[in-house]
Amino acid sequence: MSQLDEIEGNLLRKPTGEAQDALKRTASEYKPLHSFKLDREKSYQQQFADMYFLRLTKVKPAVERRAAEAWRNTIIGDEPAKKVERVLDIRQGELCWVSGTVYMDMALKPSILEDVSNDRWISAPMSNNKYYADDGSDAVTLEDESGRIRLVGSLLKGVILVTGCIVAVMGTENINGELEVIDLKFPDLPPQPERWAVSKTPTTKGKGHDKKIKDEDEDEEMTDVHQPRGSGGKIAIVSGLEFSSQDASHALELDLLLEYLLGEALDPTVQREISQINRLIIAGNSISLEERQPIGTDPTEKKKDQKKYGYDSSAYNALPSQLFDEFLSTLLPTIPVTLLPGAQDPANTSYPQQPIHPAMFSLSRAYTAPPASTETGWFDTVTNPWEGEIDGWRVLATGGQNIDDIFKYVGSNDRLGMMEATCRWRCSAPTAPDTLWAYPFQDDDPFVMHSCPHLYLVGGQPEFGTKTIKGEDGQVVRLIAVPCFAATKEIVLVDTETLDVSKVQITTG
Amino acid sequence: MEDYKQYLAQKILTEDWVVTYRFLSRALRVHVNTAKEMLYDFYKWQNDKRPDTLRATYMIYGTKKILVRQDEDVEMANPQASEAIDAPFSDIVPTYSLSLVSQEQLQESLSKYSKVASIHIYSLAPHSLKDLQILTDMARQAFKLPTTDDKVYGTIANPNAWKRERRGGTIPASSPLEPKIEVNTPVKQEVKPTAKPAAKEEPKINSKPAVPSVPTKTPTSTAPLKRQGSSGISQMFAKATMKPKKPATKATDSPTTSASASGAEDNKNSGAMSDDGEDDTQPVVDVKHEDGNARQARRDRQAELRRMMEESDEEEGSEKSVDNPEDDPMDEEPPPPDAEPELEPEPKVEEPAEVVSSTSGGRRKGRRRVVRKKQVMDENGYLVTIQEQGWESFSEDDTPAPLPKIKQQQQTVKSETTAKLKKGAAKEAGQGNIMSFFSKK
Repeated sequence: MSQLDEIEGNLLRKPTGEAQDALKRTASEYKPLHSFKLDREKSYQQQFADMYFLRLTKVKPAVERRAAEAWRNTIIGDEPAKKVERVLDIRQGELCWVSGTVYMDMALKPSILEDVSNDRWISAPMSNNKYYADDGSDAVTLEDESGRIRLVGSLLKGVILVTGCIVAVMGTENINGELEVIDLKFPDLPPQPERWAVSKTPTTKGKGHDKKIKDEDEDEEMTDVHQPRGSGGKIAIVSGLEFSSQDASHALELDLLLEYLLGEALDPTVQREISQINRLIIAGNSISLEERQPIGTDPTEKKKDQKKYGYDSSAYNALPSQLFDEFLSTLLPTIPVTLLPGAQDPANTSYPQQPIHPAMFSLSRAYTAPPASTETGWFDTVTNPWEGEIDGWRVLATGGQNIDDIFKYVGSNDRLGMMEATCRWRCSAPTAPDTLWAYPFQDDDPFVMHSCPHLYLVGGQPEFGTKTIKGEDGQVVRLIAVPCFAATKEIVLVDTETLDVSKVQITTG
Repeated sequence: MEDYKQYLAQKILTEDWVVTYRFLSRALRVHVNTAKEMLYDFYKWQNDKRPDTLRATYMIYGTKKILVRQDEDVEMANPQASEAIDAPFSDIVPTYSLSLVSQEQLQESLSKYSKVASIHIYSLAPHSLKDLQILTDMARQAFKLPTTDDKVYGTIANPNAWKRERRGGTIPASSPLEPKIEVNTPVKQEVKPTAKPAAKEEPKINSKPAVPSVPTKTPTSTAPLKRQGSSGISQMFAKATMKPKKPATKATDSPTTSASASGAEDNKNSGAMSDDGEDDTQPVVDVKHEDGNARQARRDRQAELRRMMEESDEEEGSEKSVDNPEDDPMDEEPPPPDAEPELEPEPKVEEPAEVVSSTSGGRRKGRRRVVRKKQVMDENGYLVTIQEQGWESFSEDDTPAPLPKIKQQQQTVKSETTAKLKKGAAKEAGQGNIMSFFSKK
């Protein structure tokens, strides 16, 4: 064990009896934006068509501006590219450009029209199958309120397109009534707010009034004072904890993760590093789904006996959520937690998922904000997708369903590319409401990105990935695909100053 | 200082436990880092004395060699992931590895690291752990140990953490539900005396089997009265009389018999509550066989019981006034000292229920006995069944049973209060168990 001597943080020694430093966690500046919160009294009477209309009217100006810039002086074969207002106005043989909503016509894609015409009224469970067929039978069409035209051309193979994204295309209509696409433009990244745009006045908590005043003073004097405030902080992001009562294959890793985040594992030097982690974001799928199905389906015969007041207690296994609750309640005294629901979590299925109810967490509940208060809880159960500002950075986080659904449309496996595409489309969940179930919004399509995030997190992904994308107006977005912890045993750390990413992998055995 | 060695020897060598640093720190109330060192010290000390008596697991943290990491990726990954490596979609980021390894694998694991930032013993066990998942059980143990002050253990403190104040904790929130029932019953009944028995209902439920509580139980049956329809008390008497039936003149040994009877009634209450309707039909047949002797005995018993109830009520009444005066919206409680006049009415109130038996003949009693019969049959009864036959002959006298019963009930009800009327009506409407609402529909 000669090697061991070289290790700095070596605790393989006699107890030294040294007093241990009491470590304190750096503070987290945190301001959630309730962009995806639904009214308590929500109606499901309305049609979904409004969402497409809203999206088109909102994004169209942006994409047209960009297209006009790009194609203003475009002359192909002596013919200038002319803007056409509506899809129906396209004349055969004329070079023109038009903007509209993409609709993918795919044989494998579930279709509500088909369901209705076949008299199927029970919606099929969502499958993980791809809609994408490699045989070229999938058709890309562009539509607006007036009509629809099929897009063709080799250019389309090189870009990701899904139902619901808004694009501008330039080309000519060919003899088959299809538009030969010469060029294609996305609305591209929306304007990006400055850092500390929302949380200029820190709203740490209701009790810190004196601190608040102090910070406000600082604000007046110099804005830069904020920089050191969050300095050296890190955000930990994890997804797919998948607490389970039956599958204990990653239970030990969960324990180690807990000990790591608590700062109990490892040696004082590393513990000091860990104390810089000032927030944990749990991006979906905290509770394992597998075991719920057998329990729900098996005892169908016994059900009658155990039903009391219409509640079948045998169909519900509380253990996973209790384990999760224990995990959280151990962490919460030392680190604030933002919890997004995911596809497997006990929240509504349709996008945007609403916060997991605090009643699920009997131990951790005390850390949530009191009901009907505007305060932000130390333990914040939020929507999916969720938008907020953490240490001044605008963060957009989702549980991953939006990307998973886009993944079904395309042949590639480039999750980061899909994430980038959603930013460039200015739409975080374009496939809602077509194939991604969504609430039928009437007045506003919250999936339209009005402001560009600095940090865009997507949970529940098969593997870790990160990259930075840049916009034309100087926007910089850090994309992070957060892997499923149960599968990869990885968590992601983001530096709150530089937005640099690192990851921690936990292995056993 | 050597205490921990003793503790560890005890736990690991004697009790065959797996001890993690976290568990040790909780158990001895020391900092986790100290606990890690203690584990190592003990490990070294013990293995120097007797090699291989202890097996350790180590926790390593650091950066792994990049080559190794890629290899791992390929191994672990499905074909899709290896594609991803070919096309560098993602930035390469620093990866830290946190490994938990057994001592056998320690060297191998260390060789995978390019830089180890930290290492310590995670756990000690008297044998090598085949499956490290066993450690999760230990982790849960540590979780269960009472943790009073996190500062001792070295958990990173967060001064900003805050909890919301709980308005109305769970316990106060749930407990009002039970009292509420009590509060309601007196209000509905609007019969002053019954309020007390109603309040007693709860204790009764809790302490059914206690023999000395017999007197308490008897009055309480006025509360069930309300729910079952006013048959409760007299049922009880019916039972009480039935039991002594064979011994015939048992009126004096009331404490025990009435105890058993009331116990039986309790069972009946829980079991046959929803059967109200049947009470009316069966009695007709059953009540027949009663003879004068039996009736006499029954009356004696009832008188006796009534006396006992009065006494116990006086006691109980004074207690009650102390216990839960708020329960009762109508201030009957204050007067308990001079309660005699007030308490008097209570027996009277019950009397009508019984009076049925005593004044207007055996009809009602007969019916009630029938109710009791059912119960007896439910439980086990051969002998009991025989008794039923005896009653049947008696009912012949009063064959027109069902109708008069209702009338009489109503009379008594009226004589008491209108509220009781509601109660009676409710009973006929089948009020009672909420389960009946959910059952077969």
